[in-house]
Amino acid sequence: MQKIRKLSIGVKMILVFIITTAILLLINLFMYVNVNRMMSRLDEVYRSNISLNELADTLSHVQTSMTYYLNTRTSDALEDYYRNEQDYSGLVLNLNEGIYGNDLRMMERNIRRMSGEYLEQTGQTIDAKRGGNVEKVRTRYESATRLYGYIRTYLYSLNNEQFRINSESYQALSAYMQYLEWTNILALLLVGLGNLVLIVLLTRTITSPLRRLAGTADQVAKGDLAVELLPVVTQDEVGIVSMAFNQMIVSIRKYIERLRESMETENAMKEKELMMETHLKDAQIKYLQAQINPHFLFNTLNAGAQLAMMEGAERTCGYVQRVADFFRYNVKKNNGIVTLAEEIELVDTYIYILNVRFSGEIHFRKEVDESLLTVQVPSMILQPLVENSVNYGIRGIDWEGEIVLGVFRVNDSVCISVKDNGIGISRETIDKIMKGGLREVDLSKDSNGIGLDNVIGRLRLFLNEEDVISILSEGENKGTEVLIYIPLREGEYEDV
Amino acid sequence: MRKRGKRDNSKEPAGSRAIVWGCVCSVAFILLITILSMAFFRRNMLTGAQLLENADYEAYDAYYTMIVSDSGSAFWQSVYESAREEGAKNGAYVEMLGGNLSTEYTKAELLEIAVASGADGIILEADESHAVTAGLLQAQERGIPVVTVLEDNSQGMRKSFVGLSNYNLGREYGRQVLTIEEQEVSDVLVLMSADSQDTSQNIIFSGISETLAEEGRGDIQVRAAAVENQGAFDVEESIRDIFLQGPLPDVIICLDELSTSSVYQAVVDYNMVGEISIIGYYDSEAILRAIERSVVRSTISIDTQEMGRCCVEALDEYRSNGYVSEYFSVGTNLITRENVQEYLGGGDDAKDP
Repeated sequence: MQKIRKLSIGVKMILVFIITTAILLLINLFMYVNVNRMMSRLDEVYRSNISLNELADTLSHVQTSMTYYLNTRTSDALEDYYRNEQDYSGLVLNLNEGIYGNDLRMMERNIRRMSGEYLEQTGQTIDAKRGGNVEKVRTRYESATRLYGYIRTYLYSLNNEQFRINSESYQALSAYMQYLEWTNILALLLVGLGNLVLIVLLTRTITSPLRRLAGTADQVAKGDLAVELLPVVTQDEVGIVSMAFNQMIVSIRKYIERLRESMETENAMKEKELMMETHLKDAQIKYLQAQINPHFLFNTLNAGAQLAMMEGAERTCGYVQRVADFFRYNVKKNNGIVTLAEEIELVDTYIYILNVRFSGEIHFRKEVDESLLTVQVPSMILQPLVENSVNYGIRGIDWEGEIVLGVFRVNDSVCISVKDNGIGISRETIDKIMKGGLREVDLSKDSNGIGLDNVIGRLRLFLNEEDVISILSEGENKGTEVLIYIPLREGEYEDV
Repeated sequence: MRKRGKRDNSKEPAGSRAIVWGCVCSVAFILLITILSMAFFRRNMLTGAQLLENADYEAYDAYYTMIVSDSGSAFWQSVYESAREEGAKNGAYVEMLGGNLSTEYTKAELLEIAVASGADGIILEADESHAVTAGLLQAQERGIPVVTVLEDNSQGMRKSFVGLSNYNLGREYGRQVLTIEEQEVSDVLVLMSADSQDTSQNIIFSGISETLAEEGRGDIQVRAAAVENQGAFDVEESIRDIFLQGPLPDVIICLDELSTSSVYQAVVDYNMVGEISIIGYYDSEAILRAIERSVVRSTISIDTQEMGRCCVEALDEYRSNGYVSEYFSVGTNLITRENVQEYLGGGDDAKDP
């Protein structure tokens, strides 16, 4: 079996052909031999008649040559007689001599016995003729002729009977021949059928792997790579192709896996890149902002203050001093943690600066619970809120703008409120702000660069929760209030 | 991957095993067909061969020939069958000589053939002709024993004679004539063969006459008519002549099978049933049927079985002892309407000629 599996398709097909042809050939040969044997038997059917005819002919030759000698007394005739007699004696020996329970055999025996008698009579006739005994010649000749007649009759009858039997045999044999022909045809048909089955089966061993291969290839062509691998039974060409196909599927699978992995990596990298880009931009902005060296700025401002002092302009000196303080706070506490008092001080400074700029237009009021001033908050959270109120709330209104900063305690939290009576803010804008969608960097002339968004983001990070701020506005021209809740921590509370 | 392949491989052999089985089955089928056809062939060949070889026949030690005048008649066939069976018991093959020859030979010629063929014994329905006598002489010279049957040759060269007492036979015929009561019997015709040398018939005839005279019926005229039996169809012709020429008797006595059948047919043909009583000879089926229908009154049959057996026994005895009894008597049976059914039912010697 293992050896067969290793054979190539060509050899297999040749084997199939050879096996089936050999079977058919053998059967045919066998049939042919049998039919041939039968034919030779048929040929033998009339042999007995032929030999009897020969016997009859020789007998008549004996009689004729004897008569001729009696008539002519020539030595040629005598020679003829002896030769015929010899032949006849030889032929007669082939006949049956025993006594059998069969008429034909008995006829043969009688012919044989009578022939002996006859030859004796003819011999005596010839001898008498040679001896010149005329009377004896006559009687012996008559006796011999009578016997000749009997023998001829016997031969004729036997021949007839034999012929009848032989004809029957011939007919029977012919009938059998016909049988045999049909048997042959039937056997050949059946063997042919068997051969066909054999060929179909053997061919199937060749084609079924091919068909499986084709089916699987079709599936693969339709994109189904999860097909089962082909079984490799044979090691012929199909087996090799199947193995190669399996290898191919495995390779494709591996390749796709790798592709997927690399795509995932790429995606991750892209995301990272994007983030980096964002960070970079942030950094860039910060860099741009940082290009103006705050130390240089407040040192310059300090120089300006000293100059004003020297010139005796005290108000200018104070103003420049406060501006310098404002920027120093930025440098010093930009990302750090500060107390609420510091933040409120910054807001005071900011309002002072603005009031100098805008000639006291802004009415700022504080309602602060003094006990809460030590509460720690991220730096630069109050100033942007106040800045927003100034820039978006009360700028350009017809009535007198006022900003109220409130610090009070609500349960366990410190509530910081920045309230204005400005133009108010729409609901949609509030939502946008809360979702962080309003990210435009408004580097307008009156901004210190830190937007509301930034404030919210830092508060969320600092407090580690989402709900850190609420913006309230009752409608257009009804003002805005921004509320920040900072939970009081254990330590802080005790301090208070 | 390898694991998977392995699993597939273990699953696969089931399919290929099926194919292997299929192949094995188809090859087995082919072989079966071949063997079957071979067997069929052999059988036919053997039958054919047997036909040709004529089979092997039983071998015998002795060869007896039987020579009778009418070898085809049911009577002689029955005798021959009996003789053959008896001979087979003691290793002798009995042949009815001339039965299968293309030429019709006379008894004398057949005798010569039998002698020339070196038979071990001859059963002969003899007659008093010269040719037969010469043949008997020839046989004696060669030391071939001859047993005459039914008919004898008075020259005494035969070893034994198997037959019946013709005188007794005649008396039996006479008694049969006397039993006829339903019609007036005044004229009895005895059909005799035209062979003048056959003396046995004369004895039968005198037996009939004497019986009738003894029983006080000397008034019944008993006459003989010669029936030619030398050539073919002679018997039938002679009997037709009797019926055509007349005068017709009251009773016809037939002394052989052929004349019995012919007379029976003639009586039917000439519408004489009931007017002529037939007393026949031998028990062929046709004759028995005629008795059953009351066309033939009665028939006297010779025990052919015994006759055939006696012939062979006589030859065997002579061959083993050098002598044998001169005369074997064979019994006769009278068949009338009363007992005909016994013969019709189981008589295997009752055959249509």
